[in-house]
Amino acid sequence: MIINVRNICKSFGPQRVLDGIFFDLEQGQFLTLLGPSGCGKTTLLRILAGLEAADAGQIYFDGHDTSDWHLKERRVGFVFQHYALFRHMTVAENISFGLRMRPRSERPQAVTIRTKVDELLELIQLPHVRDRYPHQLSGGQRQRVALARALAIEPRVLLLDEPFGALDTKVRRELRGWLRDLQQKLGITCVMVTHDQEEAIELSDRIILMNNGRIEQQGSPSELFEKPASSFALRFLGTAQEFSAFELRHNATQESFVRPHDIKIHRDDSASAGLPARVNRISIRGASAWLDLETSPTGGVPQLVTAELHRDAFQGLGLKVGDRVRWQAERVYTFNKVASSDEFSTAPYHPGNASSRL
Amino acid sequence: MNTKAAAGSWSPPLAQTHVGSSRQVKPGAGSRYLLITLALSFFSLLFVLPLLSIFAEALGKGWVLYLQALKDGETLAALRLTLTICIIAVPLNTLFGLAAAWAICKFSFRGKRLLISLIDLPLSVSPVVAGLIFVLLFGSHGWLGPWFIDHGMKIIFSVPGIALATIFISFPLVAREIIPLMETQGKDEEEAALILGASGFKTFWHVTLPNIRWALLHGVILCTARVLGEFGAVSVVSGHIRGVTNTLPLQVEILYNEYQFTAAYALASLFALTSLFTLVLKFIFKRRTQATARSVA
Repeated sequence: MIINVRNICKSFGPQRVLDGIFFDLEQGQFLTLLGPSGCGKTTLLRILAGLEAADAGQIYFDGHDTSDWHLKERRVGFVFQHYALFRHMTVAENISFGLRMRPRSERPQAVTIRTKVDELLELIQLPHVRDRYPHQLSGGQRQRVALARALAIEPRVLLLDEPFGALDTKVRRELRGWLRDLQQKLGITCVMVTHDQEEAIELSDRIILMNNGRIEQQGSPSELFEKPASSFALRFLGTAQEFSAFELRHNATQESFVRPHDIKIHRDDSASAGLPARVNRISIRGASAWLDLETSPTGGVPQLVTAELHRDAFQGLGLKVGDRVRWQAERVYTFNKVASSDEFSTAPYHPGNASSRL
Repeated sequence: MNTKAAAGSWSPPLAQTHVGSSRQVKPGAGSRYLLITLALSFFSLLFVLPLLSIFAEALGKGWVLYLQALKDGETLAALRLTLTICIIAVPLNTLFGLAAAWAICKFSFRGKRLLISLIDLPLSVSPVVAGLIFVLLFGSHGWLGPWFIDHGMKIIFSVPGIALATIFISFPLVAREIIPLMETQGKDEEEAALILGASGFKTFWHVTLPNIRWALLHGVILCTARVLGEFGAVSVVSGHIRGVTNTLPLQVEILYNEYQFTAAYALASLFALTSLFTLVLKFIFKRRTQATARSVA
């Protein structure tokens, strides 16, 4: 289904939660609403589902304005963070709920419902849990059952609210890959809410990055990563779990950042280019070596900067803690400073700066 | 070794709590027995002894007199009235309680805090005052009384008044039982049901009600017990017309004041039996409620 969202606004009392949200979603796309907690992403998802009403603006499903539609007419699938399975019903009863609750004239026959439940159990690879109760399942199983329940009504769009939020890291990874495969197999349009950038990057065709009730930037994961439109986008999406940014130049109107993997390091004796620094800490994770450098910009206070090196490159340098090095930034991101935190920047990306060196 | 026994009979998380608490200062065996003895003797003196005395007094002059006392015309009328009030008040309060709990737990609206404190009001008002409120409202010199009397409806000193006062007194019991449970359960399941296309009523019937059924039954039991035994408020509005507006508790008082001790105690024994029965049901439902609360998915 195609979804068009036009100028959605929502306030809770004096608190403005969503402020003029526009976006379009194509059939079969996987869209992620990404942002820190309190940025309005969950409210936006609930408005899409029809669980909340927008104060202003329209949402179109395949060109039809859904403003006056009842929840039933929307036919959306919704997966809750805490599963929201019906605790007094078995897995099969949970999955068939949406079909059984239809008015008699539209309700499929018992046999049809049974077949459907079996198919869905097969799809989520849990045919053996059919007669169990939710409390007898693991978190990952519960979430898969919740997904089957949402799919049973053949929804036009699948909405997922932090679907992996309550699961541990390992299960979360497995389930993520599985969800991606399933979504492509079914070709269903998906909107997911998350604050986890790794999840967003792995699953989405498109990411909408939100901050303070507004869209900060939207685009494909690589676009957001390669061409961040603001310092917020840059800080929020990094390669590593820990994204460390460093303000290189202090200037009244501009701020500059460098990403850890954009830093090149030489031994102090090998080259004269770059800023001098001392290696404070070395940690090797996977294929990368992470170095904490203590550097003193000309005349400034000593500052810490983190560099990410390929392991081979690191070994080639033969560095140890305490060594003196020189470093350069391959690429620097510069943005205009914003006056206040909620008035975020419309600062353009400066591709020219990509070549600037320190 | 104590720890191990406790761990065996309980689930693992509780076993851990036990390990933690074993560091606390424990009273020695001597003071433990002293405390238990003290508690038990208090309990026997204040609860068991009076209970036994009711049955002793009631049956002291034999079964024949006991049954005769129960078969008295006025007593039967009082019993009938009490049951009638029960049939009116309990379903209504169940309905009100459900509606109030639903409104409080599933919606946010202006005046919600006020509603919550209003629900508790009957518990803090003396039953006699509660009765007087209704006399003031519906009595022949009250605010609304004359209008009702002109339209041929007698409320005070009649069944409607007794029903109203009883409903007022027992109103909070159902609501207070289900609100905490509904609040811990949240509204995710209801939202899930609505999104899956269930109507409001079907959502209530298939999702909400099964989740709160034991707490609801527990509340209904408490409410019934209160309705059956209400004295103060009913005493004010009933007018004590024998065989007409006397409920069972009022009848007990009348019999007692007339020195018909056997009859008074015979009726009192009915109450005692009801409370014992209530206690057992209460125990069962409370356990089931806790089990549902624990199984939060």
